[in-house]
Amino acid sequence: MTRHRRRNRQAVRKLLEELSSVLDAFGWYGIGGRRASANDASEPSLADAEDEESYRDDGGDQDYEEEGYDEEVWFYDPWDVQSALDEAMSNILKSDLIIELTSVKEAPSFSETAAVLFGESHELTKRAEYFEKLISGYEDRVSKDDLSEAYDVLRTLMEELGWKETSE
Amino acid sequence: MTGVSKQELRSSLNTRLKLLCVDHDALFSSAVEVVIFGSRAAGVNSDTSDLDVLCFTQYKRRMKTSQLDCICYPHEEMGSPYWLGCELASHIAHYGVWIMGSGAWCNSVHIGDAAITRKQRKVLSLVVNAYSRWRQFHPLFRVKYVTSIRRELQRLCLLQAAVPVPPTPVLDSQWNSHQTKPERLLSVAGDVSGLPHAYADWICSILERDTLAEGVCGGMRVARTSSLRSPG
Repeated sequence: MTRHRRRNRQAVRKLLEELSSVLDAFGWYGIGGRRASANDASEPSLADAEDEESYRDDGGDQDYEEEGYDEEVWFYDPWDVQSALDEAMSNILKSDLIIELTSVKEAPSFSETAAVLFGESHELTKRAEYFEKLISGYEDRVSKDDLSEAYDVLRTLMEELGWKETSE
Repeated sequence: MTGVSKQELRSSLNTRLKLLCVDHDALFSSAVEVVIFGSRAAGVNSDTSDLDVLCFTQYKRRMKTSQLDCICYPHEEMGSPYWLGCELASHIAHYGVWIMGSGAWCNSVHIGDAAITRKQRKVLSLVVNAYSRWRQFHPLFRVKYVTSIRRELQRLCLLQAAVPVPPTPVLDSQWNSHQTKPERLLSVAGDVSGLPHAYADWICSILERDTLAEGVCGGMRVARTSSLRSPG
């Protein structure tokens, strides 16, 4: 039991270490206190740079008029954060710290990992589910509001697990 | 694909809403259209598939769980150019089962250039992100990304041909039965603006991982493939 607890603590530490990289990935969208460095694994968000420009443009561009779903909302490609999260989950899986995940047949999601660590009905698992929902987007894009909220949800979740931001 | 009765789908929706403690009447009282789409509507679902629902009502909302994915849109969006030209509208117009409403908007649906451009951007982002993180990904995550890239290329291919995208199990079935040609997917990938040529080799090598037989990309592959199998 003690060994299990110790292992669990190690797993939570590892989870926090990995999630801080996910938090950094929000920097590409201009969200959060720290911007990811150019040497990070992820490329800058390429997909919706043009969209961002057009949403900032009040000049009544025809393409924008037709495509715009909500003029007040900016939409982004969510893959920078989604792939950062997948890399984080990959590293957790490779660490073999969570025994329940060593025999899985499919890539585990963040919320599935949280369910193993904290329990399916635990508040932290629910938050992980909510985070995934926020970054999943719709029609291949996610609103900046949802991304900002996702950042807050993740940060709060991490803080509750004992994470403290360190200065670079 | 097998026919699924409207009653069956309605009952499945009610059950899932109850499980989520969502009041069916409150949710749909102001709805003008309720449509079930995706794998369950087409009868190609697995036991664990969620139920996809579109609802045109008074507000924007999304409920997403492992059991249910319900998208609510303000009903004035029904006739908007964005909606009528998007991938989802064309899918629903073709595969949807109407629980409520007439679906009159379906007659105005056309797959627009904007939908194709959005899909191309998704492919670009997916490939760039997967490529840059490939070494860090656990093998299970590599499988996940290979499958995602292949499915998105299939979708892009269909959108470019103005064909509504079928549910995911149909895409998988078309791939596994070789109805979808890898060469065609590579060609579509090659047309994605901003995708470096070197990535084509890599896409070719990962598509091979997603097939039963090796060498499906045949002559499409160019030199240096082996060095691109493990990008860094």
